[in-house]
Amino acid sequence: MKHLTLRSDRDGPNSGHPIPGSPQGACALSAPVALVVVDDSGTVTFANDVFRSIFGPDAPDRLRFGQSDSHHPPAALTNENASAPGAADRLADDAGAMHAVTWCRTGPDCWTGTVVLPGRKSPHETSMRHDALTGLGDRSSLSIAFQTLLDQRGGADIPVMAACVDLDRFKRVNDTLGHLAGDELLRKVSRRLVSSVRRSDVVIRMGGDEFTILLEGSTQAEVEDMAARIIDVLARPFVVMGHQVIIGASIGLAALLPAETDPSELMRRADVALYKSKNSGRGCFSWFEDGMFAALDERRLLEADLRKALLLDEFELAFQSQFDFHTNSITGFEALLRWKHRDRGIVSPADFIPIAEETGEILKIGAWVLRQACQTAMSWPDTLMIAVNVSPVQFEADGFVESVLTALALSGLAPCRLELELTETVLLSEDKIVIERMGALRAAGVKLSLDDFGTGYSSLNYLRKYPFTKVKIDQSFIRAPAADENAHRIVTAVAGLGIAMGMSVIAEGVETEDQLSRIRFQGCSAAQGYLFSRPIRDRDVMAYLQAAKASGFHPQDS
Amino acid sequence: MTDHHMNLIRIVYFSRNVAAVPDAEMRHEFDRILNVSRINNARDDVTGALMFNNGVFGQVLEGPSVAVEDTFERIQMDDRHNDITLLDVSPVTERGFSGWSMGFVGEKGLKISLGETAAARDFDISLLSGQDIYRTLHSLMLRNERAVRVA
Repeated sequence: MKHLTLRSDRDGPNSGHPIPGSPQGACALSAPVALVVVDDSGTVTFANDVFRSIFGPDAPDRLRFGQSDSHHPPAALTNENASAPGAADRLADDAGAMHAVTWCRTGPDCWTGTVVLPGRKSPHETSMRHDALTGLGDRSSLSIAFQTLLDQRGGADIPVMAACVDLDRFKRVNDTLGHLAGDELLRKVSRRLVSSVRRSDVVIRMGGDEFTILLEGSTQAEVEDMAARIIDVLARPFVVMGHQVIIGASIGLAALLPAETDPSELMRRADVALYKSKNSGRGCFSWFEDGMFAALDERRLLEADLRKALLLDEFELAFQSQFDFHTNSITGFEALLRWKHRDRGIVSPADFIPIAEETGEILKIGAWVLRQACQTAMSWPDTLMIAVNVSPVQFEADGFVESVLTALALSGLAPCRLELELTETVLLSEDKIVIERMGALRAAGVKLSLDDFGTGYSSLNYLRKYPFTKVKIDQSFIRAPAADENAHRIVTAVAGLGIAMGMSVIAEGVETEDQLSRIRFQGCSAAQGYLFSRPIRDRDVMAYLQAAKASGFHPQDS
Repeated sequence: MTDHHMNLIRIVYFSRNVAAVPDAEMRHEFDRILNVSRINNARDDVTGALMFNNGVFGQVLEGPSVAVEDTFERIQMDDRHNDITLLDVSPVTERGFSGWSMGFVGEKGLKISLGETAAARDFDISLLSGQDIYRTLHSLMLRNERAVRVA
């Protein structure tokens, strides 16, 4: 029974005690804090030298503690009458003087007590404080826990690792069920964390929904097993204040370098690895790798540039035509966002949209795109539609419907000429809100198309359940080689179903005459792609329309 | 304190048995789980019932919300239960299993109540809804109770 890695399982019973005169012993002696670890049965499993110097060398054997559990720290049993428990927050030394002790739950069945000596408190050190909500060590206890790990490490070759654990979708719990439920969830998460790690591992709540685990003596594979276990147990449903709650966890892992004696760099590496996990779809763990800091720096620069891009007028829209087979005419254009950075040149939307979504900048950019697109469409013949892509983040944000209506009102564009392209990620948000917002937009006359169909879950049920007016079949299906029969069967099925339900079915990314004749044969009602036009600038739209008309609306390579 | 003053909730879930172990061993392990949960539940004022067929447990827990949530947490972290699917969490005004710290209906009980065909190997608890599990257990436990009283 030991804790804080004062010993590891394979060590002998006394190896936890630093050897006086050794570098480790000197380090423990210089620590201004007395540390004692007591398991739930009341047995002292470790005491550092400072503790022995205050309470006597035999203190670990002399002091008796009552039973404890996850809610009640161990109470000292007095010498005179071992059956009467003393206060849990005071310990008597050899001379009978009382010392305040702060207990912190540091494992599934143990508590770590810290006593700060008057006059010996260093400005860098505080006692191991625990987080009032979860009972785990708090952020300020990290350096003590880390120092204890280093002190007790048998040799430099025993690895020390850190895991940063961050909850996924925690904010949503706070927002929908309130902070009391959020707090209760954090308590439950803490208990699951503590029971998912070894006794020698230290779990610390860094604040909010972030936790750190310090591990000593584990192999890489063992740390990965632990990370996978934590991800598994935190993904299991919780019942919090009468509600079912499902969250998840992302984890960043890093190992202490041989010469490091400070936890801050280790934590920074674990943190940047966590960042990678969060960007790789969450619910996974990642090890720190060289190059992550450089990638992060580059991203920060891009993020900063993105914030300035609107002000610097670096965005512009390009327009790609959509061709309808029934009317044999251009029916409208899709607005595509371009970022022309002064030094970087054209930045691909695939690179900057995810960042904009994460930073929330997409809300401003999206509103600009809507206004700009509506305004541009006002200069076209009034039979032409304008299709605008909407990010899921934008759709979910409060006031989205209002921002669409504002763009329409400011430009004077008839709502029936605006089509919003939604990806199915939008549909994965809370259903009630999705249906409500889509209904409000349809009621205002705005059209809705389901974008990139075929790339995700692509349930055909979406077509029935939500009020889409158009479905856009993803270009990967259109460009699938002729031999890929399944891809073509899917196009035929979606086209048949969509048309039967009164929707327009448009094929994206049509580049060749062969593809065009195939999708017509498969039943698509419209097409978009380089075969008809590359995305063009606003000022070229009228000339393009005239040229298309002159050629009898036959698609041409531009 | 009576149930009237408490915040009662009921949860229904099913879980799959972890490993395929020999029947006798499972029987023993199963009895042990049942005993421990009866002791814990009686202490925590939690009542409920459990059914088992073909490697799947269906379970109802009811009681003061804090106690039920703690019990559920304990089960979630128990390595013997994995793949837990929570079917229903709802506030209730009264208990359906008062008097049962953990009622149990095994394969035999299901066979008797459902008839040989339904209780055959293909009766799959995991296909039932939360309401189905609750209703099935509730009627079986009531019948059982009556049988005990008559005897």
